[in-house]
Amino acid sequence: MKKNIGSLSLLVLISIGLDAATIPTQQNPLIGSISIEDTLKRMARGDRIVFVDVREQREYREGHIPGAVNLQLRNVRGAKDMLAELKQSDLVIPYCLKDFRGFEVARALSEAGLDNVALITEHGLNAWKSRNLPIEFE
Amino acid sequence: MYWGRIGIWAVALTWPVLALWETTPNLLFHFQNPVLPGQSLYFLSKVCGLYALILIWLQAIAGMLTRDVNYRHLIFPSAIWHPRVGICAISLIAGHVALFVAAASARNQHFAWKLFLPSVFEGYYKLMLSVGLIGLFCLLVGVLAAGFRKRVRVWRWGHRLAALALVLGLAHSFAIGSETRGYAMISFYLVAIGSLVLVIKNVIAQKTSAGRH
Repeated sequence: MKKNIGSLSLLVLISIGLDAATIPTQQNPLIGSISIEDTLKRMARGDRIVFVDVREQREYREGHIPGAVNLQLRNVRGAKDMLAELKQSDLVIPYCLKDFRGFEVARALSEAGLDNVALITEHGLNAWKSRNLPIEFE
Repeated sequence: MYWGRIGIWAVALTWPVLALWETTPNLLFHFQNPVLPGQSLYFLSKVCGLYALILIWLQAIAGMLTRDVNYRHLIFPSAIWHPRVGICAISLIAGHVALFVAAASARNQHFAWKLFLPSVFEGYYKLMLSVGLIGLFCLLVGVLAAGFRKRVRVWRWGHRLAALALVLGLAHSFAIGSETRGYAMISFYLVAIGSLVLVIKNVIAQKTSAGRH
């Protein structure tokens, strides 16, 4: 039992160490980042920006960024039509609550050949809501 | 029986790898590339959660086969492995929770203690997190009860809460897991449910037969 607790603590400590050693996504060659303010400015300028809500359908129905499409990580590979449409837009912004799932979808979209993917620097729907920006319900 | 056991363990331990591979073809991506703060902890949390689910399923099967003379060694070579694997399972669950909270804390830049509080009124995601938390509570009671059940008979029922923990764990993972509705995990659910039904049927048949004699 003590050995198990010791191993678990070691695993958590090593993981935290590995995590601390990683570089912020701003330097990630695959996934860019953009602030909410810059996103809103680009939308006002007329750029075609598509938000991708990567949460489960039930969560999406409870409220999402207006106009966002719903696509989960497990469905990225099969969503060929949606990927073709996303490629045509100026910017694709996947998001979830704090962008854990959002990051994974951003990675998967980049691996699927999209070079217009970025994450919100303030992280996800929580940041959007904290600025009192509109939410759409279904 | 030996090769059967090896086969079951090999398939069981491969399932999480396949599930993760479906969505993350490079399983080392999070450690080879720049990622957001907490993202690699989040990935490791998922690894722990998937393996915990597999171990709890094997524990449930092995536990119910304890009195079956033909299949009691199908999962474990001897009875001592049941508590050992149980401790591994609860360590993995603890790892799943600790890594997820550490990931959220790294992302939020403050300790995400609210994740420890169950809530049913804050939307679907929080509700399903709460289902997982209640499952963890059941598992803790189940593990503690395992230590007392030989001395105090009523604790046997406490140990059976571990089965409820498996059901809640399956619901939690199916509801909000990114990988848990992929082909690999769907096949796991089918095998897990099928095997549990067969084993429960076997237990009932044995009890009925013992009652007749």
